[in-house]
Amino acid sequence: MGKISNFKNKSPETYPDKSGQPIISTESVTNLGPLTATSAALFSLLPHGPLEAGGSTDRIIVMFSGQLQWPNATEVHTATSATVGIYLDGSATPSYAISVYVPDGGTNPLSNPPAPVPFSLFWETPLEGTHTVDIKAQATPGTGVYAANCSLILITTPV
Amino acid sequence: MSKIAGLKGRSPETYPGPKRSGLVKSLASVNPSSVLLGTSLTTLLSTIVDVPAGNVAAIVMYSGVLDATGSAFVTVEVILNVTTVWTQQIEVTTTNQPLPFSVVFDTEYVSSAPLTINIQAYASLASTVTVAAGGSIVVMALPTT
Repeated sequence: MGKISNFKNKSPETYPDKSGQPIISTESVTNLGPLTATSAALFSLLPHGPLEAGGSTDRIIVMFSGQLQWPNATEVHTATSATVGIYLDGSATPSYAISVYVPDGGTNPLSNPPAPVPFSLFWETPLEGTHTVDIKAQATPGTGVYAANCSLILITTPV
Repeated sequence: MSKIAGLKGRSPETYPGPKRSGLVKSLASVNPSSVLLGTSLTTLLSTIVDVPAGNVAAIVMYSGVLDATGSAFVTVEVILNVTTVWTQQIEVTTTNQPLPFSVVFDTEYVSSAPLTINIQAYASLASTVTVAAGGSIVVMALPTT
């Protein structure tokens, strides 16, 4: 076996392919929307459903930004406390979620602006593994909410 | 001086930041509990983030919500070791209207010693009950050369 530069006394078997370089991968998706849901339905903010990321020795950093606002006059235009969260592997329970108050702008968007509320989610999976990642929102019962300008970035990092 | 791709008309003197390469290390924690804020700094994290030694800079990303029983200003600070390196002020106006907020900050700090990273906050009024909740922090530690 020939010499390997800079690997004095170390064999390829010991260091098969990771030579101190960052091995990360990223995925991203955007969804301008608007998306809407009423009657407290849980709905995805991603355009084509969950993204898969991670690996047996990797964790996933989830970065998401978007905005929520009241629905239009043809739907339920009332204030709501929506929940937005990160859902793994099709679970109905979020791994991380925040509650966001979305004010009622009224029925006339000219006199009552829709008052979009921007929000962000930053979170990392606590354990290594492959997961499907979805971002979902849910309004309180009897209300609805719009989501728009959604952007998701997943960074898979080795542990 | 040679050209720099993508930086037309800009010199390295304008963007002198250290080059970053090497293994990326991520650290994270979530605080499932609400934190009651007073008029002095209170930690929003359940676990302060310790970045191991090794000439690193850290990208800090935090998300959470604030709520108060009335109008209050909340000051959120990113604290590197014992030094406040970033501050932002947020107005919370009405009861039971959780307000989302986030902080993204690059320490640009090169140190061979370990770093501790904390997120703290305080409220402007002691008479207003102010809480922070849903806190999640992710730190990416990047070696600098």
